[in-house]
Amino acid sequence: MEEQKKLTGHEPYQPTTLGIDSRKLGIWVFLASEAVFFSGLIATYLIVTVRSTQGPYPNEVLSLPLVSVNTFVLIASSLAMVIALSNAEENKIHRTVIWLIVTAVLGLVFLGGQVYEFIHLFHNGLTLDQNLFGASFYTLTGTHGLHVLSGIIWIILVIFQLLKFRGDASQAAMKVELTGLYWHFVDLIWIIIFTVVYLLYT
Amino acid sequence: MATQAGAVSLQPRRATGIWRLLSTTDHKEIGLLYIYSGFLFFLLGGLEALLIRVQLTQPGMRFLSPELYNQIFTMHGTTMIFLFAMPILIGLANYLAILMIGARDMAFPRLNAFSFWVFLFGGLVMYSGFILGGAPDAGWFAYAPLANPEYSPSHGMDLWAMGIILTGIGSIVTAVNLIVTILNLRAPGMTLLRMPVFVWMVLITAFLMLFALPSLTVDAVLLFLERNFGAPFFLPAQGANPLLWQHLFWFFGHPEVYILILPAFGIISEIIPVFSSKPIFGYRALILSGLTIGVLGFMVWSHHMFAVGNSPASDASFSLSSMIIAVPTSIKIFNWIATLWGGRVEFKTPLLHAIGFIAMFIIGGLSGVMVAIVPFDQQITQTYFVVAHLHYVLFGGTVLAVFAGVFYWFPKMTGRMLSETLGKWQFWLMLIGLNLTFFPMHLLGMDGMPRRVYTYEDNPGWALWNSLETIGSFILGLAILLFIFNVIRSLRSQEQAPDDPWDGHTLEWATSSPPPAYNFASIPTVRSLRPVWDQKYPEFTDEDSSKIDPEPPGSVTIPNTDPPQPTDHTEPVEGNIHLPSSSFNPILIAFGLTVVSYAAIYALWFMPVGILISMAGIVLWNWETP
Amino acid sequence: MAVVYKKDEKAAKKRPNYVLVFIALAVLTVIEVAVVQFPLPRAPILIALSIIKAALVALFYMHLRSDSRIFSALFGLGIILGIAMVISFVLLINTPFGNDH
Repeated sequence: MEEQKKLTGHEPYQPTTLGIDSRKLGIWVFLASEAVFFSGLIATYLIVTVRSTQGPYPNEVLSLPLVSVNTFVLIASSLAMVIALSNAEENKIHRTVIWLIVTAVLGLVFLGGQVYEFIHLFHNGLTLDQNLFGASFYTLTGTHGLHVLSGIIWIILVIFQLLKFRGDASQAAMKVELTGLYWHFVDLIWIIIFTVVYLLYT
Repeated sequence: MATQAGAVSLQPRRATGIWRLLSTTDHKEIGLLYIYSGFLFFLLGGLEALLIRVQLTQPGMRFLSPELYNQIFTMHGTTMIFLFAMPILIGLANYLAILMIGARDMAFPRLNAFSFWVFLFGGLVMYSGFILGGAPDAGWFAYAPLANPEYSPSHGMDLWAMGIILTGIGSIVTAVNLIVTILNLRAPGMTLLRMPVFVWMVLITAFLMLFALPSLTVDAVLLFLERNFGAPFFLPAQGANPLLWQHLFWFFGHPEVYILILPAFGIISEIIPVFSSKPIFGYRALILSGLTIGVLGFMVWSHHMFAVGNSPASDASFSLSSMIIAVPTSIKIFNWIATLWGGRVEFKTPLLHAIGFIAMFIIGGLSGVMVAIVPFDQQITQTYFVVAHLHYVLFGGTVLAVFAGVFYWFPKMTGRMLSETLGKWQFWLMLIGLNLTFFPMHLLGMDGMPRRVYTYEDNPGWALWNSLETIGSFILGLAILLFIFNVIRSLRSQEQAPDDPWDGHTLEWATSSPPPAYNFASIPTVRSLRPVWDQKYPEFTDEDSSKIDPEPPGSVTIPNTDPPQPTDHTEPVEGNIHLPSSSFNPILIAFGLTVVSYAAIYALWFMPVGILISMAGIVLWNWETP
Repeated sequence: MAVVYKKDEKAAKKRPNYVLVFIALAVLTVIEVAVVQFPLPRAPILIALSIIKAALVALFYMHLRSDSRIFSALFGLGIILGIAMVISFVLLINTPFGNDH
């Protein structure tokens, strides 16, 4: 008699019509929605920034060197994340955890860079209510930063889960993959933001 | 957890009574929560409507002050759209769509619960304005800069923005849940083209919610930042174009009306075949037209803005797309009529409402095509003509369909039948009431009576029509009271409803009334578009019989599964059925987000508390996941 | 009694060279920064470069290239709608086609 598998609401291997994991399908559907959400913010930025009636203007206060470095940091964190997934798929849980920590640390460095930049801009007179550029800039990059922060928290939760359920390879890889998809998406959005905000008008 | 062969290992219910409600993750219980809450909000919205109508009975009345009137009509629109129509349709989808595809529950049961609580709390946040110094008062569409503190000084619009964000999160999460569930948890043999029309409409609606709500969320965030932190997004003095608000709003707002009507189309498409004893005419045309409406629905939004000064080229483009979208809608109407034609029609209450829907929706659709014509729209914009149009499609359309669906599925969900006699009385009162209330508005609108104003000039005939409309609205109120009486009486009765009172076609009728917690003892294998009908009447040869699969190709087979037996709902026959566990974390997280919302408005320093509560819920949720 | 179901199978897939992708991303970023130093028509070049970078992340890091087409279709829908939103909004608010006369 074959072993009977229990079917639960969260069972990763429950029978699925499309043959794909429901949680992975769910993440992609959610990311599609997030794409529209960020598009709204990006559209707002593109529209209102050029309409600012008073300074400071983007080319006056935005600092390309710092943000370029920050962009590398975030892209590197995506690399770390995908290496973590690779290790999870090979059931190397310790390595997975290490690379997840690297990802989270790089994410924190990115956020640190953002905070530093915000303070620098603030001292140069750019505030949320100063002009349309300030309003849309802080809203767009701030929302993105909150998404990075959420991603870091998610990674921490996954790390704890991996340490708790050591050795459960199939589950581990899926958990890392799910958080990885979100993380890469946030990186992808930053790629767009970096271009639109820091390169287009400066 | 017991794992005996043949046993249902239900998660032991830790909670009973109210605690059970607060922690349920069962799609049927959540569906009922949505339906009951939605109906309560319907009553609130209806009360607001009656207050509006009383105020407008005669010109120059001061039954409501102008300030209060603004709050009442704002909350009327907001309530009916966000707190009644969407939730009740989502509730029906929750309950029925899952059964119709032969699934045991949603893909993400806890997220399902979370969606409900965050909707409920969002609604309460908006209503709390009435006791916190002023309810939202800038219209349900909150145009900036009218919604700014200069013109809306109370915190009403802040509560509105937060409520919109909360309910928006709930809708997006529901959309993800429905899409994954419908795509991924169908019973074996249920290909996409064997899904009931209602399920298709729910699927398309879910995509609309998924892609439209983010635009509204952005808008609400911008409004909140402008009102509370001076971010000048919509301030012309700082160079902004206030139309940014309107575009972001209607980019959501137009798909929203299709969110409100597509599930209604689905309900009608389920009822008409059953009460004609015929399969639906033109199944594929219905699906295709639904998909077309979904796509086109994102390409028409600026027809809400024909009077703002856009270029003729832009107005013409949107006018064209808006006229085109009438085509797929008409196709559906022809399909429904063709289904009735030649069928063995039983004019029971659900069908009466469905036929009423078709008639009223035709009227509403016609006035819709009229307002798609730019010069006409520029005359009647912001008048009662628009109010007439939207109420014919939303009341004559969505509401009639909701009542049709409630009458139709009431036995399944509660195990009791509603009274046919009372139902028929309620239907006719409703039909008369809605036409008396809303038809004269076409005339008043063309005559120039503005909307959203607390009174009007004593122009010839205006007082008479308005009085008739007020009478009509009270007839509607009477109809609703009759309905409530019908429901209470039925719920109290001891007579058990049969499993399949209407001789239905689809899988929900293969369960008991109400279904057991696990829905189906064994997941059925689906072989045709009307699985329950074909299994009851294999001898009937109609054009669908050739589409019945002797052996569904390529599907995953769960052995030892018989075709759905109408009485096969007692004990499961094989395997273990483990049901999703209940959890308090969904409501906890929703509560935390609500605290964050209030803190954002009244006490920023308190926000971390709300965040911590939500984080606790998230961590615990994570902890309870295997 | 066997319960047969489909697993999310990943037959020994050839995983892309992630470091190579990272290098490509880094190089593209350098190019982007370089482009703005010169008097070039920056908008089309930058948009093209950022699209390529985004595609690299999506196709290789997010495994869209090797995974089920359903994911690409769903995500693609969102991306297309987002792009349509940005373009149409800019046209409707900041150009004479819309409201900016």
